[in-house]
Amino acid sequence: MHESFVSYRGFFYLKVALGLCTLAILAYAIHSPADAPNGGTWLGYTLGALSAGLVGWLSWFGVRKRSYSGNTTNVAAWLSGHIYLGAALIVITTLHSGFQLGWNVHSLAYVLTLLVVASGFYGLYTYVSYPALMTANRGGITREAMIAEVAELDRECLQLADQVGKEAHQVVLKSIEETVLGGSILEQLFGDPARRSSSPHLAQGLDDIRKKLESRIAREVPDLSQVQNTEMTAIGFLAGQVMSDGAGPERLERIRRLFDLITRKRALVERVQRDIQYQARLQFWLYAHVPLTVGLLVALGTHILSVFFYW
Amino acid sequence: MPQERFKIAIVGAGPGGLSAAARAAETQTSHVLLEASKQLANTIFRYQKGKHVMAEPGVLPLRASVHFEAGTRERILGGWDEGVKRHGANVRFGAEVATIKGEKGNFTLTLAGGGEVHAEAVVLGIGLQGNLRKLEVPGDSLPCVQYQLDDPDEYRDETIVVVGAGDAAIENALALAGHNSVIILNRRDEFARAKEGNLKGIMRGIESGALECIYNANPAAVEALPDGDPSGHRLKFRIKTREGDTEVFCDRIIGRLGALPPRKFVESCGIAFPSDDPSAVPAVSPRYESNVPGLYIIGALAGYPLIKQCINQGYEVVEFICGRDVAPADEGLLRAKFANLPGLTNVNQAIEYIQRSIPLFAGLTPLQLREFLLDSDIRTPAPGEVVVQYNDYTNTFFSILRGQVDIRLNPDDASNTVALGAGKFFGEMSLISGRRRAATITAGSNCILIETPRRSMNKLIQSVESVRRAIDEAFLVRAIKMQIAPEVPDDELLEVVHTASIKQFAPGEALFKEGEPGDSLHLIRSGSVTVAHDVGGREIVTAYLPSGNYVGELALLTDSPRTATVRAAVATETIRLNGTVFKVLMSLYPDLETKLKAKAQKRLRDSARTKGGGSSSNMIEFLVEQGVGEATDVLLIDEGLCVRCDNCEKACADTHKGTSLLDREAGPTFANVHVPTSCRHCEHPHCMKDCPPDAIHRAPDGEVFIADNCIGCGNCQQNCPYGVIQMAVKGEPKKPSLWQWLLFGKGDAPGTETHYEDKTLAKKAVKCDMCKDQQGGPACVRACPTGAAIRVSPQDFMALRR
Repeated sequence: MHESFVSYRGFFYLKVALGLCTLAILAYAIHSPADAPNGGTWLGYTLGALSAGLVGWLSWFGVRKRSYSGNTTNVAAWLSGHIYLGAALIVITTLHSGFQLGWNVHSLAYVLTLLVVASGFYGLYTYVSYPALMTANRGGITREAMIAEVAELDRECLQLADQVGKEAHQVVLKSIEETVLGGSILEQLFGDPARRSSSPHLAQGLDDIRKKLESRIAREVPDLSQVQNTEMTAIGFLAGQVMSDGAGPERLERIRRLFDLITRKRALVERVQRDIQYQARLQFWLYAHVPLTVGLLVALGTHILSVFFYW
Repeated sequence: MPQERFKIAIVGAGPGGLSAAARAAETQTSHVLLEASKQLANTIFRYQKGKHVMAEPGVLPLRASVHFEAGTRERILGGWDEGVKRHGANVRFGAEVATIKGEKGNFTLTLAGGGEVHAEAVVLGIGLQGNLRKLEVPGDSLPCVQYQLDDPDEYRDETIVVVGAGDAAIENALALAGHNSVIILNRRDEFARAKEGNLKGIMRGIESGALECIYNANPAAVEALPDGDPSGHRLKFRIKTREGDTEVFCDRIIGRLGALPPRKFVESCGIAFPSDDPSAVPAVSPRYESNVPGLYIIGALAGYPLIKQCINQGYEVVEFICGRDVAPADEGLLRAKFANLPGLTNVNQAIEYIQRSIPLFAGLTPLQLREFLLDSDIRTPAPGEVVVQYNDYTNTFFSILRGQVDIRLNPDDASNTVALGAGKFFGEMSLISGRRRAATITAGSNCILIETPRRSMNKLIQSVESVRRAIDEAFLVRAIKMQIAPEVPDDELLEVVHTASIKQFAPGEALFKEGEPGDSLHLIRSGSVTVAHDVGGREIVTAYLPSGNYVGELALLTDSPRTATVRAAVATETIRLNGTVFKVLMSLYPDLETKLKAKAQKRLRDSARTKGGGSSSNMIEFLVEQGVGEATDVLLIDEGLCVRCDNCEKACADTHKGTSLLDREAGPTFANVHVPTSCRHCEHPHCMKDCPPDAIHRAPDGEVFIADNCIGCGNCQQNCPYGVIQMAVKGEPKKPSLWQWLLFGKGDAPGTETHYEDKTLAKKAVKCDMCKDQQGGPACVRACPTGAAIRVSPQDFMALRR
């Protein structure tokens, strides 16, 4: 029922793009100018004009996307054309150059074209792959709801830690203070959400307890099969063992619940980090694509101007 | 006991009552205005400060001794106070009338606080708002027992018991808990009626100990404690709980138990209601006199909810009682409407003529007919002019005053028609089902039609039993003919029609269950149903059917038990056809049987397909749960395609004066199909239910929209179960310039929402209008770069099965 921009109207624009490329290649093969193929022949001018026209039309997408009234077409159709005709530029501009490259503004325009298309391909990759991942990661809740739940879990953890003892309170408080959702652009784009789901402090603390527990369990409970359960209940159980020298059952129960809450929070924070990362990756490629396009437009203008100036 | 005698006793100092008192004072008629509260216009007094009050309907001239025009709450209240004082009206505050007894010329009004008032005539202007439900236990009227909370900050360091489990009770309890010790008394064991946000808030409050809750508790009695009681409190509240009786010492009790229609009181005065419908209002004469002579009813209780109508009626009723005959304020408007009627110059004559000509209106009081005609249009279409277009979403109702109309049996064939003559009516199908027009109807020669908007017609159906019956009967015959048996002549259908009945089903209720004997056929007349089969003990939904379809034919055709369970997806009405009678009909018309068989076979094939795949049946269930069952057009987002760019929201804000009417992210998701918070354009829009100026309409293409005469009351926002209506300032913000933003970074980007700093600006209700004024359809769909956003109608939902 939904029609994707990729397969819009039965890959209409892919067919158009392939047709254009085929024509260009055929013409290039048949055409044999006196000197080597270059931008100055009739075919060179034709392909150049076509490329320039395409670049103009492709750039116009930024305007069309933001013109919300007075249109009867869908932006999805435009995007479909944008992708396939943009890809066709690789072939058409290359043939236009006649493979003559050098250290000049003409080649700069060509390289920028390829870079814009390449960044576009990366964008296409993110558009195709991240939406579904994002939905799966969200599990039907909004990011705001997840963040609100993190805050709620923090509150509960703190309350519980308070009842456990001063030390626990400090560890938990520290961990709350050190939890950063999102973070710098680099962290958002490339950070490991799993690693970034808890503060180093807390991770260290949890690790210490786990080690203590493990050594103790090795001493006291040789048969591990009786504690084979989820990891957390095991830790909770072991924590109980550790603390049992002096702690009442109530306190043990609290510790077990605290562990439980912290684990839940960790999982949730990881999901939020992942969500932010997906969204960042869906958007940040545009920060390359758009400036490169502006650069391309400038280089292309210079290229055209200089060609006519030195004619 | 003090006894006083007046010519007119006016009960209730709302706009109607105060206008009557002002007019009586102005004409030096002996009168008293009895008001239970401490101020004039108590309901409007309780509006939030600075609220803008409208003066609808704009066309109706004001006739009053007090000033009234649209403006802020303060200005309007000030104007009334001044008017009542200037004329020297005799107002008595804190005077609650307990009973009204007697007859014309000699009524006795007993006051709740003691005392009696005698009057020759009584005007009831009590409206519908003043009747808050009380605790109904001894002591429920003690000074610190209250039923409203205006300002929670007024109370500090008190122990307060809030009684109730609805949103009002929860909101009050939470607001008070900041500075007081609060106990909330819940009659049940959970807060089932509360909104999600309130539910979370109260549960958190109870958990954290910010407030206390007593479940399964009922008030037993309230006692006032003497000053300096050792408990340190003012009240002793006795409570019955499951565990036994208990006592709570407190300073204040706030009951938030909703409002009750004042029906009991009104009936105790001898006034009759036309039906048991809770929204029914008593019938009154053209002079606002009820069935009790000398007892007059004006305003909302008489079915006139708008302030201007109330004020006019207050003025007019005094004139009538004093024997001065005034033409109602709407006389001029009606005269203009009747200009089309040849040979009729007098308004009353024209109304009589209409009542005589159209049997449907025989049971109406002249005032009801007057009101009805005021809302209607008299149309004189040229011969051949299309009055109703097939497949349009219009929902007006037509009565034929003169001439005839031609109904096309086949939408594409203008020559194949049947005629409908004077005195008949049409348009009831779309009115009842909320679906598209079923046929094209053109005007014959010399045709005069009365076209009535949906709301006025529904009001009439609810308050006049004979109208309801006549329309139901016509609907039955026409629906059976149109949807099942067009080839059968009317008289052959009589038996089927007479044994048919209209059945109502609540959401989720079963029309019939798998395995039951199949004794009937159901024709869905409004709402929609799901068809489910028992697979391994679980009901698997295999189909969804909107109104206009029939179900239950298979059991009749094969003489076997029901093969599926059919449940109402939303509140649904069906026409139940008697199976035995229908079988006789099928034996007479083999074509009918063949047609039904073909349909049954197709359905069997479809359901066999669906039963195999679990996800498609879950998808139907999910969509039905999201209210898609009553939608005519719903926005669905494929989250596998959505890149979360929010271009849909930006497009919406850009095309709707800087307010996005859609929240993309909110709303549930199932298998990548996301239902965002956006209008579903329901068949029977909940928002239309209670709109005082009748500002919500349906455009011919199905768009439900709010017109500019919205008064900003917020009823529609509260009535919408999907939370898609917002209150927003309807300004004319300057649209951001794309080029200035793009080239120079100046101003906002296109699609940025407009925020108004001035908090006193009047707000109106806004919602999705499906961009009905935009070329190219909904902007959200057009602006989606990946094709993730689409709008679909119910017949397309089945295509979502995968």
